[in-house]
Amino acid sequence: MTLTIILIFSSALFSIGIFGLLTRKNIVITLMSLELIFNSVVLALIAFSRYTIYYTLSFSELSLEGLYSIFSGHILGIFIISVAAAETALALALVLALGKFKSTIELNDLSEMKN
Amino acid sequence: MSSSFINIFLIVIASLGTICSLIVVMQSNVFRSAIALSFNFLCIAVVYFAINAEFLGTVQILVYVGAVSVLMAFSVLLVKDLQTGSTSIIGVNFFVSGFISLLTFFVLLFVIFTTDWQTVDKLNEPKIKAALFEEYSLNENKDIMIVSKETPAMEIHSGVYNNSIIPIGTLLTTKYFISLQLIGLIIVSCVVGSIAITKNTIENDDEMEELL
Repeated sequence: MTLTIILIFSSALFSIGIFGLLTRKNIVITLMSLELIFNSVVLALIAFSRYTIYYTLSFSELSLEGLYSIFSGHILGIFIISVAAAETALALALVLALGKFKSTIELNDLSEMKN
Repeated sequence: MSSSFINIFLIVIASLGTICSLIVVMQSNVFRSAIALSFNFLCIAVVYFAINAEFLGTVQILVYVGAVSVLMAFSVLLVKDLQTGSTSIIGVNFFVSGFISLLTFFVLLFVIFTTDWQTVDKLNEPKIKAALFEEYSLNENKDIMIVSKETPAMEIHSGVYNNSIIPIGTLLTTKYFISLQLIGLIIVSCVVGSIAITKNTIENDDEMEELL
């Protein structure tokens, strides 16, 4: 039941993030929607890591290494969080440069690489 | 804590987080949506704390609520005309993307409700339950044993979900050590890149204007 609640929350965040990505033309809001999608994925990952260890543990030989390896989902979540934070920092630096030199950050106005 | 209490708590927190994320995508003022985004991150951190992932919750608060939201708010304040000059979002685009995202949501809901999840609550192995949630001890071959009255108090470990820092630290420094170093390298290169981009905006104004 708890797993179902968290997965519904995660899928709601995912679809709201897709809605924001498709609808808004502002770069900063697009980045925020991207962060929402990243967070929903990490949330689903942690919920699976917590509640479906039925599949990862073999019952006959339970060692300390096998017991610790159920936290691999947490490790993957930490890696995703750090990569997402680095990506956000880079993208916001680009937003600052664009806002200074083109004085617009609407995605429709940035068409230099078209044609 | 009983399971039904956690479920009710999680439903409240999940509704709050969903409302906050809706504010993020519907609000025309960008600064307000940055604030709503930080509240959404906080709700997700609370969910992490509720499902025994304390370390992840702390990382979430430190990185997302502390750093990313503040970065967003600063970039909103530093760029001119960003706070109010946002285009209207109602149009054909609005309905098409709303339809697509609702379709995604219902497909995900269908998958969630039709799958028979083999969760840890259905587990009836006393050894695993003790190792996960209560107490366990190790014998000479490093095998997991159930704590009995003869076990000396020195060898009793508390269950991994009650003390999740030790497994995460062990995994990060042994099995995933190379990956940790690689992530550090990625972060350093990202920071160097963003410093290079913003340094150009301050020093070489004319050169960059010719480029753009």
